[in-house]
Amino acid sequence: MKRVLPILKGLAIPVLVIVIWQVLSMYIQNSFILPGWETILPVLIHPAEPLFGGASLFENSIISLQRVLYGFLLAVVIAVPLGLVCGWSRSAEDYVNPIIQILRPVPPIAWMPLAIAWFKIGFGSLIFIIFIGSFFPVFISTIEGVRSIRIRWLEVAQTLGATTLEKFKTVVIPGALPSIWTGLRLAFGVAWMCLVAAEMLPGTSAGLGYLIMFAYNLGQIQVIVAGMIVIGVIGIVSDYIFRIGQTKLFGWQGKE
Amino acid sequence: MVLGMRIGYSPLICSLILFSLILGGVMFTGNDVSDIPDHSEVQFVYATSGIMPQLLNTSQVDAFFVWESVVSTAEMGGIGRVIARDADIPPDRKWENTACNVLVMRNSIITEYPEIASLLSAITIAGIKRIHENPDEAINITAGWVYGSQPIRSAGLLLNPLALEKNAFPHINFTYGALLPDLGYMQKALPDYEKIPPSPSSWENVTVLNRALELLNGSEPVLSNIPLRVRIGYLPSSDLYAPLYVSIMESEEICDRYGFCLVPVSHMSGRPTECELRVNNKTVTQIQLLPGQVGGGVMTGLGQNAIDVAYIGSVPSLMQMSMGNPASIIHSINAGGSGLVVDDSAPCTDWDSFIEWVKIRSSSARPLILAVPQSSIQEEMMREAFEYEGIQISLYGLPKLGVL
Amino acid sequence: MEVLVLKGISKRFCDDQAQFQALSDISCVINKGEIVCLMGPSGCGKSTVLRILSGLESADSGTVCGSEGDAFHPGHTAMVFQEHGLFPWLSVYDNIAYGLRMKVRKISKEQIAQKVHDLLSLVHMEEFANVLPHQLSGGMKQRVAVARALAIEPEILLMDEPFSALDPFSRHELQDEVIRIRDTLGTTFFIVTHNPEEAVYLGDRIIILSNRPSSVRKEIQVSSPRPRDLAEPEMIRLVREVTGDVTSG
Repeated sequence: MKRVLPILKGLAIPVLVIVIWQVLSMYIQNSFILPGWETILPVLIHPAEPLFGGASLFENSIISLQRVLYGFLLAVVIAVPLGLVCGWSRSAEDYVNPIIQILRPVPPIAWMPLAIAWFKIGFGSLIFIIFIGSFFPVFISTIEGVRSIRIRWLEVAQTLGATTLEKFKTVVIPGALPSIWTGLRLAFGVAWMCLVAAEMLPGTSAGLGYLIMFAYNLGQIQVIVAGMIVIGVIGIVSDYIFRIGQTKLFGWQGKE
Repeated sequence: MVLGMRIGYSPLICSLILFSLILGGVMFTGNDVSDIPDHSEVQFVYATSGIMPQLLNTSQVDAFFVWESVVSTAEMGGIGRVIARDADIPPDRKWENTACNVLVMRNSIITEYPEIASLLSAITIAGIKRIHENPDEAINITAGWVYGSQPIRSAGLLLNPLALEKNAFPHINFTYGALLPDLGYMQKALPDYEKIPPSPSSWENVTVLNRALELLNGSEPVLSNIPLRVRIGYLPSSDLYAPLYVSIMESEEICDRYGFCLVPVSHMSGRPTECELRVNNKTVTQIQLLPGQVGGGVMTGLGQNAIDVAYIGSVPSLMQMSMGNPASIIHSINAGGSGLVVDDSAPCTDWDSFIEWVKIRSSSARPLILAVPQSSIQEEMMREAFEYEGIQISLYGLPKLGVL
Repeated sequence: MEVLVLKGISKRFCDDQAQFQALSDISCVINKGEIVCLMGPSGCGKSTVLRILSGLESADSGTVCGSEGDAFHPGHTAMVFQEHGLFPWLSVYDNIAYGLRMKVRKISKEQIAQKVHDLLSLVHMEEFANVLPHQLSGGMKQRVAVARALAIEPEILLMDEPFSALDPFSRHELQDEVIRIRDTLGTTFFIVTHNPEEAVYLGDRIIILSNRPSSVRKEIQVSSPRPRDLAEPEMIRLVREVTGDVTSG
């Protein structure tokens, strides 16, 4: 019973929202404003059925996930090493920091026109937008991770005979990893959010963002809601995976 | 490995497999070697009208099919050539006189305020007539409304909006008598396809049009029920709604001639956003002009009671209405006005040589890429034309999904 | 036999706020197998001496020589800090093995396993080989820290107030451990402490520094036989003497 209780508490508000939604939709009787759950659920229950003559909900989700993963991984592969170097070397950080601080507040969507011009419509420009969104959280949290390393650990390593490179490999990287992981979790969330905006770029013909835009143009709001639910579920599941990773890999954090 | 020990090997292996499935799996089910196309293929890209010249200029697409005056922008900006217009698109000059844009009203507006509906329709028709009477003034007004006063940039050249419109207008047929397209290919994408009645005239409301013609002939408006305001949605980036622009900017002439008109009240960046409907010099109701980005979006707004009247493309309106959007088409606004644009170096000069080019490109496994606005009459035209020519359409950038 | 000879070590610290001479002239000798305790008033630079020896700081002047006049190298030392400084992401085993895995040592995997196993037995932590530090008590963590330091077989084991963060019971346990390790392995200990009872209990010799800028003020020989009992009169007298010397600076 004890383990179930938090789950029940978490479900309470969504259930309430669903009920209020249904009552309102029956009252308003306008599927453009508030589609009833009897129209939304069939879309969710038959995820393999082609929508609007194109890909199904399931296929669109996979395509979106694939794009997010590519853009996200690209960002990680560049941001983590760069962050490690900038966290470790003050000089490197002095070079890199100003440009980072200028680019960071720019919302990924604002990059869209340039993305299309530089990277070609379709895959290239999409990955770029997702990359831009994921890069900064990972980069910044990597630097923070390096900064959070206790000097004592480095001193211990030194007294035990570690060279600078060995210190980097055996102390800096493991020590920074919890913070990097948090950055990854945040960045994935941002990447997943950038996706919808990114899939409105010309040249996309599939994906959850595209599906939502298409449904909007056809006035099929129930598909929009179904798409939003799928986006939300994938977001929750991915966040959960990151948090499990956090407890299993970094259970030591904060207790030493 | 430490990682394995911490999490446990099975979840780690499972997630790695899932991971690589997602990353790689979908990609690899793409082009099989055995899949030699026996039909020629062309690829569509959905894009917004404004970006199409840039896409052509950077060779990201090989051609685009869109409305004026984007076509003229590309032509006069040296980006490409127009090789075909509505009448050239098969089958059988079908599109020459087919409604491209229409006046749409929500059914509740028509039933509750029939005279207001008819007045708005009449004013639109008056605008159409004015365009035919004084095309130069119409061009002036449209250039100012769509582009403002500054010259616009197209691929490095500065273009004068007036010159643009002078180039575009002759290709647009402003008429309220054009026939509605039947949707054919677009409809196949819709749910409950078989249940849709075939004839587009099911969504036409001739009563309003008839009353509008009476009003234009001198019949006295009978104002019983008056709304507080009427919200009109349209796409300000398009020339094709010139009747709206002209009727508002020439409100004086129209009021003199007919006794009713739309008088602009407030201006924002040269473009009125609020008007008044005046009948016999008395203000009857407020009109709000709400700009939109895409036709489908404006129709959705209509369904959401955010907009009451729309000047919109025929295809997006018919598609939504056939799926239950409670609105009706009053009459057309224009026919024609689309153009197929290719790069200057393209090996074609007309539709037939264009199709030849498509086939050559397809056989060398480099299908031609054509940009069209999504869910527009232009897309419908292209789909029907390619089916007529026996060419398959696929969507650019869509990985061919296999068993997954 | 001498294992460490310090002559005239001086050290000055400069930072944005202040400049001060921490050590002015530190000279002393440490013999093999000795447990030497270093004491002094607060802020006199006791830790600095250890840090210079371990290579974490460098002296401004003076010399440090190894046994028989050989050159001295910080690699001959290992250090245990007040906070255990264990790597929280490594198990007890991996912490101890850490120094052995450094490239400079070139030790094979089997040899490492053997050494770690021996050290685990030495500090009585065999069952905890695969445990993570955060699951251990303070006393156990320090045992592991000691084992980790001993793994690289230093000529002299430096300890900077190693037990002051522990509860009295663990402290006494670990003090006995130090004595036992010295008796078993013959390790030389150089321990900084601010606890006079600890110094008298542990040390064969107690070196007392003066106030800043510090030099060696006094050396006290403690020859009482082990195991020592702090309740004995000689012990009490020594504690009082040491306390007085330290506070009078």
